[in-house]
Amino acid sequence: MERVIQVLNRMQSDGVVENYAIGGGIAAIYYIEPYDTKDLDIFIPVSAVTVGKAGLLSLAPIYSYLEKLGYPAVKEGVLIEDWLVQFIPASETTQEEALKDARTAKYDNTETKIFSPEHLAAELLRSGRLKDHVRVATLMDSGKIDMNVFRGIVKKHGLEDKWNRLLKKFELEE
Amino acid sequence: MTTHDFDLSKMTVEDLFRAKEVRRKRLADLPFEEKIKIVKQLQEVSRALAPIREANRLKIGRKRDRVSD
Repeated sequence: MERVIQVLNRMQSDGVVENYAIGGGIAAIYYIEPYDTKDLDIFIPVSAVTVGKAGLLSLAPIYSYLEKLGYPAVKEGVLIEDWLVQFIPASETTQEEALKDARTAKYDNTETKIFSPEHLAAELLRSGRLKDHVRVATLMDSGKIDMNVFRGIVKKHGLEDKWNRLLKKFELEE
Repeated sequence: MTTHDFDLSKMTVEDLFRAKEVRRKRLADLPFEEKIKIVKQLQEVSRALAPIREANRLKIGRKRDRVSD
């Protein structure tokens, strides 16, 4: 994992992406207990993958940069040091903010950026799959979420209905 | 994990839930690097089980096909 982070940091310092942050399952595992997850979700600014005047999105610049480093594109991502890394343009407002407000984390001696637990929970809530909602409940249960901050994010991004439905579904209390 | 003796016959459902909660908290408090090691182990187990799961999926599919014939 440290080598993967080093590759991502190099990609950033080489100007391929202006910044990045870990989201998804691995970000959740940073805060809660580990579970089986297949890939590493890396959120990047949309500007990094916007090509031409029409504003089409293409991951080609990232894929071609990584291919030159010896990391091939496979399935829906790039295989970097035994990790399937998926690059996700932060196209939703929740994702944009999560990327901007990502916190610094350390893996061994290497620094990286990772979604805050509040933004991660909001993004999982927005995403809305059952397994995402289970993670939101687990994150809440872990006590690592500042509920005032989380509620602010939920309100700002119009996720109140989803939040109320999740509370009802899991019989949770705020 | 503790090593003191316990009587399984006296264990209640609440004890099990409590133990599960303690385990979850212990795992959640591990350093990130340790958690990633566990994820890699889980991925290996999942990979090893994939052919068995696929064979079972096919078996169930064949049974369903026979029922619907």
